[in-house]
Amino acid sequence: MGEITDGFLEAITLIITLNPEIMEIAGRSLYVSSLATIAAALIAIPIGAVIYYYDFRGKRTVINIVQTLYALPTVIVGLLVYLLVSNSGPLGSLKLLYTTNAMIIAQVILVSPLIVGLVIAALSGLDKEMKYTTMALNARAYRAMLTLVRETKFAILSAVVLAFGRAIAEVGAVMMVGGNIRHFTRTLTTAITLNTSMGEFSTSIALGIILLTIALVVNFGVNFFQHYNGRMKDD
Amino acid sequence: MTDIISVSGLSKSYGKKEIVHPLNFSVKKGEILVIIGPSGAGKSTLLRMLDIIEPASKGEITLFGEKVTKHSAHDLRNRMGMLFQKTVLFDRTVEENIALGLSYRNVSREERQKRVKTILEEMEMSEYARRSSRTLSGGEGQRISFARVLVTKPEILFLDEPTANLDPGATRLLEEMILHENRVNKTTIVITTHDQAQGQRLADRVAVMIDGTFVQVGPADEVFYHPANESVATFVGVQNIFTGVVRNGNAVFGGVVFCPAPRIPDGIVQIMLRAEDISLSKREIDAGHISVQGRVITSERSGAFLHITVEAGCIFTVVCPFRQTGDTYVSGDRVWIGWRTDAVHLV
Repeated sequence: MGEITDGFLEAITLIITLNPEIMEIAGRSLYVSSLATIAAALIAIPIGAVIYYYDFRGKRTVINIVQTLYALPTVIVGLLVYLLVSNSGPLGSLKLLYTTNAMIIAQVILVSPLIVGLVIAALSGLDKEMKYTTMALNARAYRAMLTLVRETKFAILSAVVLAFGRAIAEVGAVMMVGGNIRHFTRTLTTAITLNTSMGEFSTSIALGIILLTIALVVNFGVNFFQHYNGRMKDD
Repeated sequence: MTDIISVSGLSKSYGKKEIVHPLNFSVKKGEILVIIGPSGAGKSTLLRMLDIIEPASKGEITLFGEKVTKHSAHDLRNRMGMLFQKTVLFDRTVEENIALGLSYRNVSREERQKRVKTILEEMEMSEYARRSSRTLSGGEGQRISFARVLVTKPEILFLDEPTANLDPGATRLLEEMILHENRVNKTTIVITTHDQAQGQRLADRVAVMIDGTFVQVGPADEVFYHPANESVATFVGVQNIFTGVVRNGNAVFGGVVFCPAPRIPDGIVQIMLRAEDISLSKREIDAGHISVQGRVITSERSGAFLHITVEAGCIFTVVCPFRQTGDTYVSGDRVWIGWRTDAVHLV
């Protein structure tokens, strides 16, 4: 019990004094996961919109597969990206292994299905007449999709936040392709894993508190944004 | 006048179920065609196919003299507009909603603003321009949706049960706008409704659609007073339908002679008589009418009208204005009912 209390007090001290190494790790986590989430959103929102908008054979199967990929194990993604970027892999010449870029790629793969699936779900929640109306008003497909995506912006924003949450909290993939190298690829989750295994509970707790705080701040930020939302223009 | 819409062999199936059976019809420029029919008859599906929102399973549509193909769809749709039963407003201001179709057509910002302003003025809704679409009532919302279609200056309008969710006042207002659009801009209109009275108010021509097929097409009066068969008659509100016979030149059922039928050969006949065309009295009804005596079974007030069933050889339903009946009628009363022979329709 004493160990936990001590660890907790020490953790608070580390945060209040803005311990340089802890701040560096937190900053890297934010950087990797933010970039990964933004990239995933840019890829996944259009894909989700296209799958929703067009009727094609096997649509139901595609959606089922996407939903199955929500639960994609992080270590599988790690393995996949490792094989891709390792020296003998197809992207080996880019020298990405054990870099933050490799970690970003892994997280993009990890969270994209989640955004695709939730975008489809959000759009499917709209009245069918809404899609018909855009067609009847003779919108080109991409304009219609923009209008409909805009109509579900809050649901889609929540999907993106959820994706960010999954990205920043995962440890398996970034550990495998980033290597948890101090000052280079160490993130909040990999650092917690390492410090816990070394018995450095105070550092782990401090990093855990920061991880939780980031999640809270992001959520509050999104709520604030949803409430006082300025409009996104598509026309 | 020329055909602006012409359809041949048009059908729609979902899986193995054919929702719209092969249809052939045409609509003239400037005409209002009202498609009436019960829910689930395929009316909305037909309208979506005509507006090229939903692909047809089979058949051909020609619009403005041009065949609908994947290639021609976009340009053809530019000249048409469609309004749905469910009001669709996007989460923006009223003026942004109205401008949407223009924006899709890449109309310049100034032109958009000008046209939106004009149409709001015409509709006496200028003060709504900057309001959020969420603050509108059902009737206001549907009028704004209509404005969004009209502002693109369509030559053909497809209206899918546009007043089904509106109260009578809002319905009246939208009907006036529809008629105005037709009279002033000569817009061709195809409108569906399950409200037969609305069909009568708006139609140049009525098509009765039941179970995916046009059962009868013709002027409103013809459909309402001379329904082609029992299902049309039931749908257009004919309450007295009897399967009788023609014998010795008279149409007879239940011992009652309904009317002379000199040109119809002896045999089975459907006898149709509107409840509103039957008069009711405690005294014998004047000459010139078929008149039979009977007994009141039920008597019920419905608004300003009295709905009475009378047993007189067979069971008649009679509807008359409550104030004009003069008498009260209760179950068991002896009464006379009568009708003009030309009010009877035989099929």
